[in-house]
Parts: sequence; structure tokens; C-alpha cells
Amino acid sequence: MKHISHTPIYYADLFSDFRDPNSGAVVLFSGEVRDNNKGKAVTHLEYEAYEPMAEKMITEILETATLKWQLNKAVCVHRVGPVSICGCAIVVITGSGHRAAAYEANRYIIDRVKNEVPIWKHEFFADGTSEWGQNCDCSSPSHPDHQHKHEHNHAE
Amino acid sequence: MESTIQVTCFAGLQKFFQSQVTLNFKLPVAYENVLEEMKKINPEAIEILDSCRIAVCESFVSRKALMTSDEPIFIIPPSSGG
Repeated sequence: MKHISHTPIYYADLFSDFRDPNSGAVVLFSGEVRDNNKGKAVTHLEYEAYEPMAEKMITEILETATLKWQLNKAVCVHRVGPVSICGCAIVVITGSGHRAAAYEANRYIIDRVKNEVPIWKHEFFADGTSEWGQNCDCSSPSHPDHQHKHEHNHAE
Repeated sequence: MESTIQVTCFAGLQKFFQSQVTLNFKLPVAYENVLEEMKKINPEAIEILDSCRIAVCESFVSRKALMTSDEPIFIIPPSSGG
């Protein structure tokens, strides 16, 4: 399966294909486009990727998560190109025997993809301006998710 | 003898450079010299270049590592997917 998609992601279809008799728990995370950011109205996003490297890195991240949490299945698909409000920018699905592993692995995958994989968000605002997205700010003290720990090294 | 290196820029870097930049270096040279050369071309890009990583053959390389061939280089700004 390709991890970078130029067409809309239909996660319900992915979820249906994902069913596995060994999985008592399946977690689906969908990253969706908000209509606002930092107090400004957002009209849409456009994503760009260094696709060969993004494919390779997402494959490695899924393999690592599958091994670490003994997952039965793991899927991650990220959009490139324009994505409208409420559109799905990324989906991560993890399936395992029990829910703890499925939840933890799902969080691990989305965090690593957001922070490490060469994919970039271009935000377009209602006032006609646009801005390239910055790196995940969830490690900043003011962010509600500050408590989670990145397991990778930002400094290269 | 100088080698010609193709450098690909992504995302926010394209505010400062074309998507493809051609640089000439006498090899071997540390990859960080690519960033330094680009800063000279456009000093307004210093801040973003300082936050970028370098990839060769679909893998990240250390800035201090030596570039010994004319493989294309990819300048990777901080990720903002998801």
C-alpha cells in the first residue's frame, strides 16, 4: 500500500479492509483540516512531500510500531495536494489483540510521522495570506499535549 | 576540479530559492557547506536554513559528513505533516 495519496482518503473503506480476526481492538486516527488556526480563518491546506523519502520513512515507522506493540496490522496514509476544510489529511489505523497496544501504537505512529517525515503543510487563510506550517508545537509548555514524550531526536 | 551539485528545495524554502538550485563544489566537502553557500545566495533564508536537515539518497546525513560524490541533495525544512 502506498502511504502518500494524491486523492481523497476514504478512511471508512480502509477501516473495512482492515478487519482481522486476531484484532480485538482497532484504533483509527484521522487528522482533519480545521477552519481556523492561531485566530485566523483557514480556507484550505495544501500538502507537499518529498515522496520517495516519505514512503520509505512511513514504512519504517509502521514496521517499528508493529514489532514494538505486536500489532496485527498498521496503516498510515497521508494526503498531498489541496485538502478542504473537514477533509482527511492523514489516517492511521492500528489493530491488535487488546486496546492498550492499539492506542499506544497509533499515537506513536502519528507523532513520528508529524515530526519526522518530510511532509509540509501550507495553510491558506481567508484574508488572502498563506503560511507554511511550522514543526509540531506539542512539546511547547503551553500546548495541552506537552506531557507526551517524543521518542525520537529532533536534532539531526 | 569542481563538481556540479543539484539541490532540491521544498516547502517554505521555495520563498527564497527556486525548487532546484545548482551549486559547484570541489569535493570532498562537508554537507554544511551547501547550507552556507545557500545563505550567501540569499541571506534572508539564514533562519530557515539553520532549521533544515539534509537528505541524500532518501536518508538524512549529518551536516558534518563529507560529500564525496555529485549525488543530488535535498534540503528538508522542519516537517509539518499531519
